[in-house]
Amino acid sequence: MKRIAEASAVMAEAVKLCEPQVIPLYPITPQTHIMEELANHVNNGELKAKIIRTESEHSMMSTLIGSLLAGSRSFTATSSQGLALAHEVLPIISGLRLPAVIGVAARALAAPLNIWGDHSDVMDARDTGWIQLHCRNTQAVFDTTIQAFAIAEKARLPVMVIMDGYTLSHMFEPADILSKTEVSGYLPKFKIRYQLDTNKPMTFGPVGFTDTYMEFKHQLKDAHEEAAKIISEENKRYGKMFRREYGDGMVEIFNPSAKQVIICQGTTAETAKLTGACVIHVRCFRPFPFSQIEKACRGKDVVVVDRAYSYGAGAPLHMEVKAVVPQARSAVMGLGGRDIRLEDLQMILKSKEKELWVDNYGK
Amino acid sequence: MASKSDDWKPGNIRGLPLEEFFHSGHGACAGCGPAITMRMITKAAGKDSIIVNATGCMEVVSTKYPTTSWGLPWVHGAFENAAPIASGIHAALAAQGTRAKHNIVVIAGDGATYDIGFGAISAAFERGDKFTYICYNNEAYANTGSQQSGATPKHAWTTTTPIGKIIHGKEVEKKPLTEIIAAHKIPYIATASTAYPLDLFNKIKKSFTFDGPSFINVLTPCVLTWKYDSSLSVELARLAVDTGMWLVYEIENGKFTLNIQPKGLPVKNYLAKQGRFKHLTDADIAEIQMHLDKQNKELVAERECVNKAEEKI
Repeated sequence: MKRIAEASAVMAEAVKLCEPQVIPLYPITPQTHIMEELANHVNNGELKAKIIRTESEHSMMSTLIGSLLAGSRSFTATSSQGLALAHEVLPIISGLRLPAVIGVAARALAAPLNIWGDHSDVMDARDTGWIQLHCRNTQAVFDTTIQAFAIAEKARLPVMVIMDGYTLSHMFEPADILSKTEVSGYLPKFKIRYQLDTNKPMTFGPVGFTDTYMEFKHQLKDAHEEAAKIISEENKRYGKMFRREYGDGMVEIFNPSAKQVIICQGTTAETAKLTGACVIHVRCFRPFPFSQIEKACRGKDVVVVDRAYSYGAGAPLHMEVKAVVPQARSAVMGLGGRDIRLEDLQMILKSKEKELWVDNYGK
Repeated sequence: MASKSDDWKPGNIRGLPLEEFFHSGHGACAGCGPAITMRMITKAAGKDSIIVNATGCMEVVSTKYPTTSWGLPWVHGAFENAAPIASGIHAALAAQGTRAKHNIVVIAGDGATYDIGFGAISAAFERGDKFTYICYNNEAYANTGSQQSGATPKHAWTTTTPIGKIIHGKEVEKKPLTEIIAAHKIPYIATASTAYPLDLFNKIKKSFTFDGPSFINVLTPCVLTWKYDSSLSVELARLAVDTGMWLVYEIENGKFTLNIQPKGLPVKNYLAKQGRFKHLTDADIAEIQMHLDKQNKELVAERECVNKAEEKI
């Protein structure tokens, strides 16, 4: 059923249809609408889940360890400083191979304090072993959230479903909302391979000395390679059932015959489509789709739009792309909610600068 | 409500279950107070329990992969988040309708409890999540090499409160954590000592009968931090109680009971046996004794006052 709704509410709707049993919450802008909606669903009796109102994002993320290991599908959402505060728990969740799904309304990191959208927070979390899926519109938020549970539970890896703070999280758009029956036809019942069980006591989160730690991490690396396949399979399976696919699940390529390419993530892709250039939306940042990008960029003029920066090194998406597309140029845009306009994208296509910080305010 | 799988009968020490859930082969020091305490905790917790362990000595010595000392389902996340992990387990089991079949027990040191995890504990107690939080309190960050924590007593040597030319040991009093927890008005709060295993056992069993959070603060000596001969762990844990350095009491639905009356032995008997206090002057010891007498008197008087007020209501 098509409905006009805010992307945050659409994410909450998708979560409701996936029926998590435990939802820890902690407020932070611009993610709050997601959890407020979920709280409404629970208090109205539309979703039978236990809400845990925590005192911080660190505790919020930690409750997921307990709830998932005890055998319950679980969800939470955060942004910016919240994701940064919870950072310590992120590699613990992936290290324990727990299928957590969280929504991230991506936002800038202080200082200076800034509540608006960019990708600083999720880039800061890129090396924590989580799958990172970006959404470019409200429909993608709905579909990706549902797929995320299937991917997480199959890959035994946690997933971040990322939407640009404000430009998407607060955007009202029409979206096709699936029915409960449709979603339960797609998403299998929650199952976790190993759990806290008094009939079969196991030790979770032990100490890994120098003789075993590296083997655990190697398994995590392998799991991400496997996850790339699972993401594509789930995208295809979802597409077959509901007639909506997101490229091959890892990247979406629009207007592939154009000679110039804009590589970007999130809502920027929707604006970039209007330039007439080929647009590669990097839907999945971890695991990273190197081979798809390399293939699509052969012999082309490529510019990579980043909404984050790795200080002292370069723009994070550009750095990944450059590993397989040496000619790719870098454009840093939209930090702290600065607009990314059509004319800005047209300008970066024309520019020959290797790295350009697009300072367009008031211009 | 509590697990009924092994009915609790307060008896004597010979009546404790023979079954072990904290197995030998772990890497704790000879005479380790916390390791003795783990054995008691798990005996009391029984086979229907899930353990959440904060980072600390007991977690590190007992789970070197691929070995484990734990005969119960056990999870360790990080240093400061044992309480929220327990909340997650509690919520999941409640959602699945199996909460009544399990006990959830958090085991965490004083660094995790008094300091880094404190905010998270306070929030879990505010929510009223049902689990038993046990702090094994050796009054320092023993796992990282005996640094000062909020539980370290005034004057004590630690590696971050060294005996220097100008400053000697910890300069401030320890945090009155049990009383701070009591202010949360959770159903059950208790203190215990490794020297009184039956008291500890009974308190853990009792904690499972409340429909809400419980907190038990167990004083347990650390050979390396307190600096004493490893044969003296239990003796020191007993001396702490007998001198009044550690009051053993419980607050059950607001009602205070002093479980073990201190024998009134001079605090010097306790301090003199530990290297961490060997720098103390007679004046220091006199100050400690005076402070202790005042503090214990106040605590008991305040709590008895509350008892009386509750009786009147």
